[in-house]
Amino acid sequence: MNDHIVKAYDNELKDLRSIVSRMGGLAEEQLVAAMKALRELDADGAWHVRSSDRALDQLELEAERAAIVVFARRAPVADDLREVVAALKMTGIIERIGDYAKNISKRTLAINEAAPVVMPLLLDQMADEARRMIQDVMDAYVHRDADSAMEVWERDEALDNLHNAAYRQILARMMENPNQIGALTHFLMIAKNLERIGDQATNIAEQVYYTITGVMLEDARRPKRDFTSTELVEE
Amino acid sequence: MSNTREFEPTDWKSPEMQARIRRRYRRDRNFRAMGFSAVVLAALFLVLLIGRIVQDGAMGFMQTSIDLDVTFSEDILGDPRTLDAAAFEEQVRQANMTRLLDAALTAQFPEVTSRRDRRALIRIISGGAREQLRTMVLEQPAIVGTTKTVRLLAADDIDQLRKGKIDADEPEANRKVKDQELGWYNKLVEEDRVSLNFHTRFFTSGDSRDPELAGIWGATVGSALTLVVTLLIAFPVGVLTAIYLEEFAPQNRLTDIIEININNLAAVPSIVFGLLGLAVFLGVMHLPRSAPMVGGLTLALMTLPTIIIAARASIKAVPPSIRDAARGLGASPMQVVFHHVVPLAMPGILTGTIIGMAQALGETAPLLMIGMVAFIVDIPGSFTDAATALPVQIFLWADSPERAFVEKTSAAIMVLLTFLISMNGLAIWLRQKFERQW
Amino acid sequence: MLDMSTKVDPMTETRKPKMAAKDVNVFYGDNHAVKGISLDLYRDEVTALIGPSGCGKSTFLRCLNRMNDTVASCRVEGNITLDGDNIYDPKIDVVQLRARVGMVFQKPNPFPKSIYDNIAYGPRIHGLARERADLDEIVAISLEKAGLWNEVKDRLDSPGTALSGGQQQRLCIARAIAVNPEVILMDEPCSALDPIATAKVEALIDELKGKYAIIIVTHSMQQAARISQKTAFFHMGDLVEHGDTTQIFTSPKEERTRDYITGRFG
Repeated sequence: MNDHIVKAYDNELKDLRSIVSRMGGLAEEQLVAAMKALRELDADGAWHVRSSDRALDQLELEAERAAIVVFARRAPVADDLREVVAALKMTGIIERIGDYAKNISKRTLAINEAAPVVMPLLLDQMADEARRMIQDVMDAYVHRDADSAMEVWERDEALDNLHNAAYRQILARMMENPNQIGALTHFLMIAKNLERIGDQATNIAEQVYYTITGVMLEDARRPKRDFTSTELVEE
Repeated sequence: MSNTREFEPTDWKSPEMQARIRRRYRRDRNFRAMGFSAVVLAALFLVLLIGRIVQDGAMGFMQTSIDLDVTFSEDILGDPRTLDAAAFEEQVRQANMTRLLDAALTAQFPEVTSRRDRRALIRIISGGAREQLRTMVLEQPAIVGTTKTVRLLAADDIDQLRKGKIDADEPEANRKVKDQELGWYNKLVEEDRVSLNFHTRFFTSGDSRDPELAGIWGATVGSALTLVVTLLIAFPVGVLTAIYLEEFAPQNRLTDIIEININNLAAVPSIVFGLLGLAVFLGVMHLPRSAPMVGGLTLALMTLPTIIIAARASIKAVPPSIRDAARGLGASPMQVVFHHVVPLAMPGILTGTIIGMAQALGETAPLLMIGMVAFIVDIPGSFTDAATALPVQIFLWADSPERAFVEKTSAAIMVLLTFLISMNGLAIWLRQKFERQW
Repeated sequence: MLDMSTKVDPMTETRKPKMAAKDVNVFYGDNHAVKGISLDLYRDEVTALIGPSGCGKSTFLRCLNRMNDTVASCRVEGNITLDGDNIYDPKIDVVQLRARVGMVFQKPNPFPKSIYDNIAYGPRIHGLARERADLDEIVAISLEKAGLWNEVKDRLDSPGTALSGGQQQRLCIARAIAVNPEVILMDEPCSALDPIATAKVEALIDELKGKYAIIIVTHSMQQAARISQKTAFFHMGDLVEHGDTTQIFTSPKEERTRDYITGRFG
């Protein structure tokens, strides 16, 4: 695609894109750090994650300001319009991912208070899958690859399945070790957070896809595999 | 961006720059000075020319008169009380006014007795005095039998003497007015019988062999009739031609040729049009010679190119946006032209027409060719009566031997110039009045 | 910023176009200015023609009321219909065509006459008013529709050229309306106006679209986005893309369209 005749316009869009990229990278780091703190039951690590969340909030404000400037000054249309609208929405989504990571750390600290309990391995798997989804969708964003975005969008199914499995596993453990219910409940919530992170990565994929192609991936088309909120899970 | 070349900073204050600035200002001043001097020079020449003409012509509007006591004797004129009106008139018309004059002059100068001297004496009064007296009697029959002091026009030599154009100190052999006449003149001056008055007859009478009786009215009427014919022919034909060529004619070779020819015709010497008039209007069509109709036709031919060119320029100057607006509303081509273009072009067209008319007013050569050069005394009454025109009249008078005609010629030139200046003034005023901002 | 009011309903697209161009080619001498354009123009909507300078949009516009007839070197091929009748048919009266398809120009061009006479000229020459009272009414209605009545009702005899630029343009619109057209063509009507006058003219166009088919050529993409329901993008004589304004300005199908409206080429 050609550059805009007015170079300053290109620069403003470039700045906006770089903020979004940075946010994506930072969110990924937060997730990794949160899971590490959880695995090692590291209180300091958890606190670090919680305080680092502020950086994400700051970046979101910066992105909002940059987007409004482009709207006011450039009156963007077509690609540019979709790009700026998507950037605004994506920073909101990424900020939410950061919040989920922060929540994981919060629960890590809570688990630490009680007797240390071993983290179910499935959570690690989930976290890894979620992290890869974030990484891949941000790559798709940077490289303007609609097909990769679509592919990430479809991987949500796998994460949903992992979530179902983790859910069952933790419930089973709860029944075996009633004294660990407190900690295990936190793990349940953490699993939910990770699943939600996957959902948000899917939302990002939708935005990226719409920016590049101009076509929206309708909600109805997303295959719903996570039934934990609608059904009683039997063991 | 770092590989673009940069300008060296300019030193606007360097001595070279300053020298350039000074040179520029100097050239500017020089040009302005030249222009100003040219204007001054032109003004000087103008003053010289006008001054000369006025100096020569001013006196042409004044004429010397001599007051004489005239006895309107019954024996010569008849008795209006005894005769009926028609018979009386007949008698007065036939009466020998010279005898009345002779009697009056002899009464004034009793010492003049010999026949030869008496003839010389009568010659100090203008020949037109007889008609003057006749008219007086016809208008006022009661005057018969009385003696009145009548102001009679002096002869042209006496007139020139009074105006100082004939030098009394010159030796008699070189003078037009001989010592004897000079003596009579001086006596009349002593008695306060000689006066210099404004000569309205100059404006009311036709041409004459006698300078003191000559007037420009005949020529003026002739010019006016000629111009009326010129206007009636040249204006409609010229304007409609311009409209056709500019708005309706197709853009092809033929139209181009017509355009070139019209432009060339504007530069053709006017005498050629005279030859054309002679050959066609007089030779082929056998129209009356010397008539304003023929003069008008010839001048119309001459003026047409001027009017067409001026009209075309005005029409071209109407902005296309007006035409587009009219056309866009659904006006037909005729409506666009006559409702919008022509009214807006009219000031320019009128200006061009007036200038063309002013040109025609001053043209002599073509009129000479078609014969408007004869000596015409009567004021022309219609377009087919023989007539002459102002410029031709001036030409004829300039050729006359009588000294008095010199001032008459200049006076006539002044009248002609006044007409021309007022016509051009009218053109300028019209243009100002109708100037529009698009 | 974008006009979201009329989404194109596939059902109503079966309605007949007011004017239809099919395979229109226009030549100025050897210069092929308009290349094979086919375009349908509907009543009740504003169609904007956009594109860079010299792309043929004004030329195409002027074909719709046969104003190109007056340009000697111009040759028009193809089919243009008004209500199904070919407007280039020799039997068609061009004068009447131009009353049915009115035009407003880039630079306001009121006649150097009074406001009243400006508006009354069209109805007079087409014989639309029998008496003075009828003419008065036509003038009043036209000025009301153009949103100018209140501003000039007390000075109908003052010259049209004494109005401000924006008022003059609205006068020209009123003048075009006075002959009761069915289609109004506008060639960059706001390019000589300041932003407020432009806004007033745009508001006027929005109101008028209910009654007339309006086709507007514009250099301003924002204007096209604001006031039109359909947009056609011209480039170098070709019709590159034509569709719903909303769709063109959010997701144009053609790359050339996208590049033009985002300012990626002039």
